[in-house]
Amino acid sequence: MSWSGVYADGISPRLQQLDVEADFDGLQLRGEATREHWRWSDILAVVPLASGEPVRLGHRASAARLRIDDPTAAVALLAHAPSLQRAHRVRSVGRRFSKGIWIRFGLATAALVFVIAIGPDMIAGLMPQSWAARIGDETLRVLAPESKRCTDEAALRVARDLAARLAPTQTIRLEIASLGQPNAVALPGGRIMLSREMVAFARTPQEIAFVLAHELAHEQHNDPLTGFVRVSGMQVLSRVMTGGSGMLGNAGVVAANAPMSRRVEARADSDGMRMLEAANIRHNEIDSFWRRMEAQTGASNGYLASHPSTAARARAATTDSQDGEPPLDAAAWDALKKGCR
Amino acid sequence: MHDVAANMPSGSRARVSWYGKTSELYALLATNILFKILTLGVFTFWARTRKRRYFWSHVEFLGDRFEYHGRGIELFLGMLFVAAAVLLPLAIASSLLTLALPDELKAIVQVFYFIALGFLTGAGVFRAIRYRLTRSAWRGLRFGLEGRAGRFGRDYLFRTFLMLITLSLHRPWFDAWYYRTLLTSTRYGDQHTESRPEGGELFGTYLVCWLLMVPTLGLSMAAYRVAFLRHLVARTTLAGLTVSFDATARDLIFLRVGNFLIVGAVLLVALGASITWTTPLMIGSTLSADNKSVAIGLIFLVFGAIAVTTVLPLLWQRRMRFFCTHFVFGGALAVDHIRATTSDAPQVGEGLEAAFDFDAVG
Repeated sequence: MSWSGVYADGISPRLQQLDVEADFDGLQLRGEATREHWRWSDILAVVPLASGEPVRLGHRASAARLRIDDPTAAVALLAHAPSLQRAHRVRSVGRRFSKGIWIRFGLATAALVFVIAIGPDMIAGLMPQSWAARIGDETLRVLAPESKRCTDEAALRVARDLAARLAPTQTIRLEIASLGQPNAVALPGGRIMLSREMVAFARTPQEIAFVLAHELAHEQHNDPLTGFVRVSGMQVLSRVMTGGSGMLGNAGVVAANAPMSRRVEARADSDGMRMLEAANIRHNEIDSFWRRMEAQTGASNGYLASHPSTAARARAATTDSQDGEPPLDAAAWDALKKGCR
Repeated sequence: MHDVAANMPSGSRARVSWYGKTSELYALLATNILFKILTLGVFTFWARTRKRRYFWSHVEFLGDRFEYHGRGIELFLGMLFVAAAVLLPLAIASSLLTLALPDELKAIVQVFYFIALGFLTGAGVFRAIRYRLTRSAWRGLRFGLEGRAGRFGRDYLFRTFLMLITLSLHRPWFDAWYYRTLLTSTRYGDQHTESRPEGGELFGTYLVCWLLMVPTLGLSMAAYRVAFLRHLVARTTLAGLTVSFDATARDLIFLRVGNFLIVGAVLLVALGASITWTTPLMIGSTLSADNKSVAIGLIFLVFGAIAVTTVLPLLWQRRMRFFCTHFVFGGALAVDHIRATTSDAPQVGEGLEAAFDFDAVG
């Protein structure tokens, strides 16, 4: 089989017309200035070969190109070399990465691993308290503007005194504000936000004491600041890894952060219970608190959840012990419930 | 040696032809999106490479197709370097300074931050174009871009500043500088492109379009774009090859309005479908708040992906057909004067450009 072909030698864009003949080993190219033999294994498809279409081939060892416009050529060549049905991986300029590239790759990877695994704890530990407080205040301002905050002095004093009793050595700034759902949040710099909805939801002072103890445990471990640094780093990383695909990148951040977040939350639950014990506060109804929470807000579960499942938290909080005192007397409890409802 | 007509003898005219098929573009995009979802976006770099490989190999000039030789791993490594060497230090320095400095000095930090961002954007565009050109070939010969990214970044920053203080009236000079610098630095084999656009010659047209921008909802700028493209290509040559652009402002407006209507219609349908599917979740579901958010996010993601998959190939087709139809090449390509070079090409690429969301070529 032979056809007329158009050949470019890869050194100049000048085209030469030549005869192309297919044999058992490959293609014979014969022109006035060109005489080459391309073995089948050296031939690459610049564009995948398709019946009736011009054939565009290249040579693996050079930049030479060959075009056969005859519509019958594609089928005949595919019979010899079926791989030409697929576009070849054209050799790239940077096909062989130098040693320097791999060293830089290693350093870059190490830097990014640092961001995720080691960096957050280290950075959070080194950050001055005044900086952490500034981040906490700013977050507090965004999360709960002044207009949403509870200003009842008596109620705030009750909550702050309870926090001080649970963690006497910690410097805490506690605020109560509307967050739209029963919740509490620990923020960098010892800032804690208790929601009005949580105050309304709680049936006993023990429940409020447990919620505060949980958030105080987060503060003891510097979890809010570590989490802030980690998520910020992961957001940069996700942008890098996805080339800026926002929604997918955010899903990646949630998925990557969730297991660590669940561990931190479980630790804050158990440390919170220990804190209640240490302060001699009765804590035998926390499991029912979680069951009511599940009934109100739905089950928290799944691989992407930031907290352990509500059922697991209820099981971990189950105790028959009646030891300890109530965290608040009736008057204080009344002041809190009425003042920041 | 027997020359063939495709060497483009003097006096002939030729156009670039686009052979992409909508069905193939749908298949390409669908697989890219699927793999992006499965890899939570990491496939982006390989998806971009597949797309470019398809586009390049379906554009034909004088009987021969273009080739794209880039690889996904090169883009990925480029982005990784930029993240470690530029983005992270910049983000950390900016955050620390914002936290450590008193409020009255924060504004100064912000100014330096934007200066750094402007410089890096310009340098990133230059590096991205250099990467793409060094990975592009025609008849086996590669393209290239000479020059220094740092110098381009510095000038880009200065001219962006001029754009800001002149309320964009500097635009014609900016565009002329931008394309003149890039085109005169571009080479095919060892032959450099020559380009001499002059911003001053386009200022009158630009001023009229600028004044009409608000009443025409920005459509007047199409007239400037067409005028600029005509001016640019008329003053650009490569090895004896001349170019002209024969579209009118009306052609460009039809293209853009058509695209807008296609995108609007598909997005409306996708939004409606997403709301229909998420409403029962929002009002009647027993899922927790966390799981509800994830489920709603997934529904919007799926319909968003369907909308993008539906609309993008149509837009690509329209754009490629438009530009391939309206660029006309004349003169004589002096093939005897062009030789392949062995210039160094970057081993990785585009990190900066991708980080700042610029896509200068396609």
